[in-house]
Amino acid sequence: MNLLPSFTHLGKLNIVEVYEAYDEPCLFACQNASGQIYIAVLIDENEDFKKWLYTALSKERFEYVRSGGVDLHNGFKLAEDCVSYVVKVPFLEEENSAVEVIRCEELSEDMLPLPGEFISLATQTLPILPSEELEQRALSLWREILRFKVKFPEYTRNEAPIKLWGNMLSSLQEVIESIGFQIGRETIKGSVRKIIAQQTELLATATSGGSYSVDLVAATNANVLRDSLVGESLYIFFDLVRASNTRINTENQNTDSSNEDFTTIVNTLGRQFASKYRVFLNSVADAESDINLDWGSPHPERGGSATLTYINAINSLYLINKMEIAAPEIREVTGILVGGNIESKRFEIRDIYEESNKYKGEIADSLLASDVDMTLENIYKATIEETIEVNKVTREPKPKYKLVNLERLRLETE
Amino acid sequence: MEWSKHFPKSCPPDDTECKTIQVYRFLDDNQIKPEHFLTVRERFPRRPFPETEKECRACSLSVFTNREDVIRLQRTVPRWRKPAAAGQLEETSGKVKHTPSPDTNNSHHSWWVPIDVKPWALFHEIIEPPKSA
Repeated sequence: MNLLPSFTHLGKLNIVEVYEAYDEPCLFACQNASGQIYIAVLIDENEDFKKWLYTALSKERFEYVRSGGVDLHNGFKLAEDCVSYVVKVPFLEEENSAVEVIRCEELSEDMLPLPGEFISLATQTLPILPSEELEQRALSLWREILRFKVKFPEYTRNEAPIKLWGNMLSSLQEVIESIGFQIGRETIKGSVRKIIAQQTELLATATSGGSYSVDLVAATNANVLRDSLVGESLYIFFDLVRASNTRINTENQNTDSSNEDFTTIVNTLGRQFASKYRVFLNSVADAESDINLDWGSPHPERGGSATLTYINAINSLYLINKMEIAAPEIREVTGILVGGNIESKRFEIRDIYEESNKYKGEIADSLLASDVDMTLENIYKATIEETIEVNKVTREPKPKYKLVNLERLRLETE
Repeated sequence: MEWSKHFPKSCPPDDTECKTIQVYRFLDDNQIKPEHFLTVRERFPRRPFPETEKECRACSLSVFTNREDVIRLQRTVPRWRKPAAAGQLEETSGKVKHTPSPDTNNSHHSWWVPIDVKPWALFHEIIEPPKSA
């Protein structure tokens, strides 16, 4: 029995996928030997033959029809070539099929699917790149490479909404930079934040399928020991992501009991990091998506894969919110006292290394009670307590500063 | 259960079952008539089915167990923009097997009807097709 027409100008056809069937397939995609894709729907049948409507589709158009980007009605009615084919396929194999060209504007509604009916299958529209190649690429480029992969649940094609995607990427960069700051702040001299930002910068290069993926390549090379600040930062970031997943995978834990690895890493990296990581976790929560990470490194002991599930991101967020409330961070800032008011107990200090960093807030009662000198325009080593307040509506974290100690710095003279 | 003589050997197959289940079947018009319950083989006796499984399937009646799948087919396939009837199968009504469309997981079932069962008598409600736009 024939299902497909044979020996017609439509070519030598094979069914690619069946979307609807009743007794037999009645809506399907097929492809001829030279690669032309058609979508076909059953119009009618009688004792002798079935009558089908065939429409040729480009590969991209097919991907859109298959994934629900174009409804079935328009998939036929608005054919790219402005024509479709009415195909009569006889049941007896010895009889020939007949193909009649029909202009799309001549297609009647009783030959077409009703408007608003879609095929909504997950469809790869970008090539899938193997994660194994990342290590070799990292060696070739002598740089860290991170493949950041997100499956947005509402999207059937390899597409990403730019607001969510942009928030994820920018907050990821902030997290990596913040880890780099904790690692490098003791050793890097000069404009620490600027240098660390350069050394932990990630650049977006290729996009690929299998969800929506982007390859992020370190802006700076590894050194001769195959080491780099961004490499060290990624190493800790991967540890943290794996620790996030350990928590949910371990039985007999409730949301009040913290995972030790996770809290140890976050506590070591400090409040500022926790704040950045929370923004990243929020972006994952907003996207309701799992994050897959594949990492290629020139360093032989680094690299690998990790997954941060949406559920674990939510749990980590809960945990990190609790931690930050419980544990304020102490900062040591070298800066100029640019504002102060004893009566209102307010201060303002400008970091002398990072002029864009200003700290405004409350002066601790203990400091006011002491006899410490507080003179505007003098340079001090200030001890500032930072707490984070989270807006309950927007979930935006906002740092609050309290000046707890001041130590005057003087130029050394012989 | 006794089956029609034209069924091929080992048909219905062993993995079919008898059960109580709500089903839906397409009709050619909006009346429930015996001719709407002919198998593909009965309707098209000349049509060749080369493989045994297809021949066996041709001896069954296509039904859906999910009403939404009926409506979906009415809307997507012009050939099936026809009324459908809802019916209730009992354990004595024959054997059924879940046979979804190859690349979907819809509720299509094949129903093999014993010789002494009148399938149209098990159906009552009619689901009208949507109008063409």
